[in-house]
Amino acid sequence: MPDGTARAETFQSLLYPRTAAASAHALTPAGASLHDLGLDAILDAAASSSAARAVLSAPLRDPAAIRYRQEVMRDLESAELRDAVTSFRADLRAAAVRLDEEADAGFPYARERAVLDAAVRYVRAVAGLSEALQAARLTSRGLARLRDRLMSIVAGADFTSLARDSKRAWDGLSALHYSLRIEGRSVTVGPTPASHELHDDLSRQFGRFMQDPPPEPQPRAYLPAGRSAVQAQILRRLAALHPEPFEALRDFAGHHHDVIDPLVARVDGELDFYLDYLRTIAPLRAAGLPFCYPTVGPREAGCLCLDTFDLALALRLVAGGSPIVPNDIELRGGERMLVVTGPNQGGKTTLARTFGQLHYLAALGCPVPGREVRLAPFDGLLTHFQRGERAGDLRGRLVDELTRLRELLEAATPDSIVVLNEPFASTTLADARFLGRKLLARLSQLDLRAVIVTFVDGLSTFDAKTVSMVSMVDAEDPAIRTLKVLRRPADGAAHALAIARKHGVTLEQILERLSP
Amino acid sequence: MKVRLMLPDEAFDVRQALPAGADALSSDLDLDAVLEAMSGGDALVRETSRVALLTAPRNAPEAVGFRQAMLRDALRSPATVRRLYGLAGEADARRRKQWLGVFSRSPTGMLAEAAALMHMYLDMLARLRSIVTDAPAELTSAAWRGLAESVRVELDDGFFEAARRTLGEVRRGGGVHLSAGLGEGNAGRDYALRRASSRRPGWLAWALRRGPATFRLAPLDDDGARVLADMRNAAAAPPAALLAHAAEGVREIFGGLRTELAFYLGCLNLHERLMARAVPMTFPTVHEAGSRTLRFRGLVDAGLALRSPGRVVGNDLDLDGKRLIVISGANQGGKTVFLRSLGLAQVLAQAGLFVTAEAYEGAACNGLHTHFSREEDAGLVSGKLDEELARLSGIVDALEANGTLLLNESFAATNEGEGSEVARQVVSALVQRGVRVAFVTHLVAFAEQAHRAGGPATASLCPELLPGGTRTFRMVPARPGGSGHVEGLYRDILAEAVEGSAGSG
Repeated sequence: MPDGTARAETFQSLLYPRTAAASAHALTPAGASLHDLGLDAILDAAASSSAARAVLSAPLRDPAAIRYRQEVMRDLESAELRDAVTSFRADLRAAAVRLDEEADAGFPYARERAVLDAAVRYVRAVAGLSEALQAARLTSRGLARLRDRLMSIVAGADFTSLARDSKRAWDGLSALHYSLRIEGRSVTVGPTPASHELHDDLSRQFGRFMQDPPPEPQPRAYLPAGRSAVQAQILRRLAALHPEPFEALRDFAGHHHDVIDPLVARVDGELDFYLDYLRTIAPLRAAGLPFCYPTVGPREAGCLCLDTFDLALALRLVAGGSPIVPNDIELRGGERMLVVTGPNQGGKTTLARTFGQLHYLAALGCPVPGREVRLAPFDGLLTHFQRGERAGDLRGRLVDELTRLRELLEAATPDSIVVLNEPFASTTLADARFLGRKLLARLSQLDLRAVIVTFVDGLSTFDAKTVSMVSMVDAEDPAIRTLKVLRRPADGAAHALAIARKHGVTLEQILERLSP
Repeated sequence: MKVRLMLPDEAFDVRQALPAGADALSSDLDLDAVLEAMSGGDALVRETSRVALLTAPRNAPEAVGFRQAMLRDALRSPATVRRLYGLAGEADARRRKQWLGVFSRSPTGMLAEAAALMHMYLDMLARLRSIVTDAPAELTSAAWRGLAESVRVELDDGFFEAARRTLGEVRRGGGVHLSAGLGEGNAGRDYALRRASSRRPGWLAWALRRGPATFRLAPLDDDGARVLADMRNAAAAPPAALLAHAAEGVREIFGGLRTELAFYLGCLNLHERLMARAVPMTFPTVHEAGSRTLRFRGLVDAGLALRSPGRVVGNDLDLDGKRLIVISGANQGGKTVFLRSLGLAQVLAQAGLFVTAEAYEGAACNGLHTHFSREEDAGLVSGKLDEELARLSGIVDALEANGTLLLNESFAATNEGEGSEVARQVVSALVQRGVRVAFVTHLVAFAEQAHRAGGPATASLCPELLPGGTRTFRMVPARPGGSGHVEGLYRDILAEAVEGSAGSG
């Protein structure tokens, strides 16, 4: 977005273009639907805080608000900027922690040192982020507005004197070095000893035997408690020996109190959503899986998703090093319903989940699985999956299923996204066909967008709004479970043909691999 | 300090991943017979030798020369090799006895334990030095000189003296002297242990001048004692980790010495066994991979020579420039044994050993693979071809240019026409890609086609049949014959029965 526009508005939030728009237009899908689509697993993997979880749980309806977030997320794709933001957050959080500890009394200079530590970290956090944002080529309104706001904070007199005074006090204390002679229970505090460090001598004498570089020292592994009575004793003696830096510390704390600007603290919380999501999909991108920012167009333009995949499944598989097979999903012109048939274990349910996930993630403002994705706005996600193994007879389960379907149909509008996975699986084929036709007639009449996974081949040619997709089984490696689901007429023989391919290729395959 | 007795630039890793197909190579070439002779009953010798042989078909000629020279030294002074091998074993045994493998949790304790362990190692290193220094002067290989030089430079008197002093100080215990700075929250940081060498004067003067710098913990102040212990631990952690790491390094040095000497010990054992059987041995000349050199005199299969009670017939052949060697002809004529002897000689030569021949000169290969027909699947004919081609496919994955593939009766699980066509396509593709192929086959159509079309880069060999049909078990260049291959057997076994009865009837 043009910088001119960005400068015209003062910074409010990285998540919403206007504060008033916050949650009013958010969608709230049912918890069961989140589970059906694997979204709960995605949220669990992504959300590092309750703030992030709240944002991830509230997809937006307004395309303009979605675009605002996409801009911010795109800017944060820059690794440099993300690194800067990460260290900003680390410093800011450490500063807050130090201030919380401040109340602890009885330790010499406890309060003064806490304020100093917090100030040093806060100064570094804000100045660092401000510089990084200035150095970055920002296209988002959100971050451009934040940059301007931070620049004015950093240029202010309060911040300038905080930075100067904290550095002076900090440097004085850091320059102190001392020695401890510990003999039994007696401790003598003195100046830095002139003798060698034992570590250096050992390294010189025994380094010749090391076959690998020595291990990195882990200074934090055995850190003594900072505020012990012993350390208090040592400090009092140090302060008596070196009064100057301790006086400078007291002086600093007397002049500076509220170091953290509340606006800066809020930005930190809002960043969770963006960083969590990008961190979650990073390993998938590293594994070569494509992600893109979906465009949101009118319903008549249809929907197009190239090389897309189930994000929840991909998170599991990539962690285990297994391959992912992407699929294309398309609804052209008047097409509304994808009817998915084919052999089991062929990726049918995965495809249905993917369709629902894409809409949900797009409405969060996130990049979604796929090389290119175009979707239309929607007002709700309605799902129907088998509900575990609920005890009871077949008739009881069918009754339950039909009841849930009735509720789904009552909630559906022309802008709903409906995902049906194996409806009527517990009935006979004839019954399922009969019920399926009734169900599709209603969905078609509503003119909503739906994916229906079914074992009833006949439903794939239901009407002109219906598109047939068929899952393929890779006979070469049945271990691959997320397989191709292709747009083609339902064909009971596809499986048998695929298996036939496996035999009859032995020699040709060998010769092919030998070709340079 | 590093041990480099098997490879010029790196330690030999006995736990390394073996090349694809190593199991097949081992069983197809009957490596067990050779390894049994090498081991002399020592499991480590056997295992090291096994890995050395199975990884040999990648070694470059320089590495081969490096090992040959060291092996010559070992043959000159077997006692030195055996004494060093014993010392390395003792170092390991003493470490196990003294120290059960887990350092204390606390860095202070860990520092003391690592110092004790290192103290023991200093004794062993001193003995290492005296064995190496006392070795005969005629040991001149680069490998040996590298070890001797490393001992001279790294294990000099100055080292032992300084090292014993530092360790003594660490082990004495008592008070400690450490340095520190101030970090966030005015907590201490950068704790470091100091050497005790700087003695009191400056310190004492300072303390007296600046007032009461000393405080004592109350007798029951357990928290305070804990904090002091933490400070000592924080200071002890880096030197403890360093010393433990160095001790681990010494363990690896002795471990490496033991492993690499185990290989030469295996070579010595094998040499003794073959000498006892009067089997000829020669250090081969090994040329660059791709040079396609291969000629030998009196080459025998080492495995067969070790197993069979009598004398084994040797082969004399000049196969220079051949990319494809097709061995066909009479059964029971020694074709498979010959193919094995080719493979085993390649393995031994590239491992840096002597070869069981009177003379041997050959090119290094870039990976050696075997595809021997598996008898156990003979029942299912279609399944067997399936299995063979799947196995071949795995080999193709692993093959590289200048690799070598030994095929034994492959593709025989179908009729001769089809089998020959598969063989033709596979072999010509492999040869085009620079793979050297030796193929024992009954597929006459293939053997004839290869002979016709192969030109000078193809050798056709058959078992020698003397007039009258006597087998010599030697391979000779010969045009593959369509009908000859069972004639000998027929004559030996059946002819009398068939013709005798025909004649009488």
